[in-house]
Amino acid sequence: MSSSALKKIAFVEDDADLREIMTMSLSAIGGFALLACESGKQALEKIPGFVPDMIILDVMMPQMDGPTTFRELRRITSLENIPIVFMTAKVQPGEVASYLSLGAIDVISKPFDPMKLPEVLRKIWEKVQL
Amino acid sequence: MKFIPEVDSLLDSYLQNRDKEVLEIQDCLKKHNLRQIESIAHKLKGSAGSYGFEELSAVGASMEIAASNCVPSEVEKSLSEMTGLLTRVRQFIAEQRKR
Repeated sequence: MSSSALKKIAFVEDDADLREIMTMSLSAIGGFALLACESGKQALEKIPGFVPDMIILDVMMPQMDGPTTFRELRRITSLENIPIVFMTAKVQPGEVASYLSLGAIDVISKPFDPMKLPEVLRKIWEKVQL
Repeated sequence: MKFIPEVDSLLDSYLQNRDKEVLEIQDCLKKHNLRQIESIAHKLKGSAGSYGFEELSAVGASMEIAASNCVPSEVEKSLSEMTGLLTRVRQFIAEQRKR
């Protein structure tokens, strides 16, 4: 795993309004290079060519949900060690534990503060580097 | 309610999309499609607070529960709160933009 700064983030979110504000937050405020995907299927097509430092996955998505997308991404050799964070409006302790047991490095709750999200992700990244 | 200047350029579009959702929820109520309402409400819960509108997120949470429990009267109550809040949010934004 790289010990460099967090620079490239791919996120998967089916809600267009959340994609808009995440793009503003992570790109304009956070200064990250971004890839936004609207579905698990699109993520599987696009993320391998982007090779991000970190992936953020929405949990509840139609067709392919977050956990399924997670498992499919992990099957791609170039992505098998990329840290993945789940983002969800369902943050019951049991659900969080299930996402972590899948291998996610953290779980962020929705709604989020767009001004603070980049810092939250940098702290998660630093934790992974230890 | 919180005004985030960096988000201002996204607000009009966000609120227009909520207006469309109000109509969609009304239509779903007529068709007894509570599952679709649950999905819309879940997204509202997740997005509104991110735009600075925590009260709207709370209404989304209440509506999601009402739809999940198949209680149309509670969905209607949440919908009424949602439309009222959308008016208040627009007034709030207009005031902030004058400053």
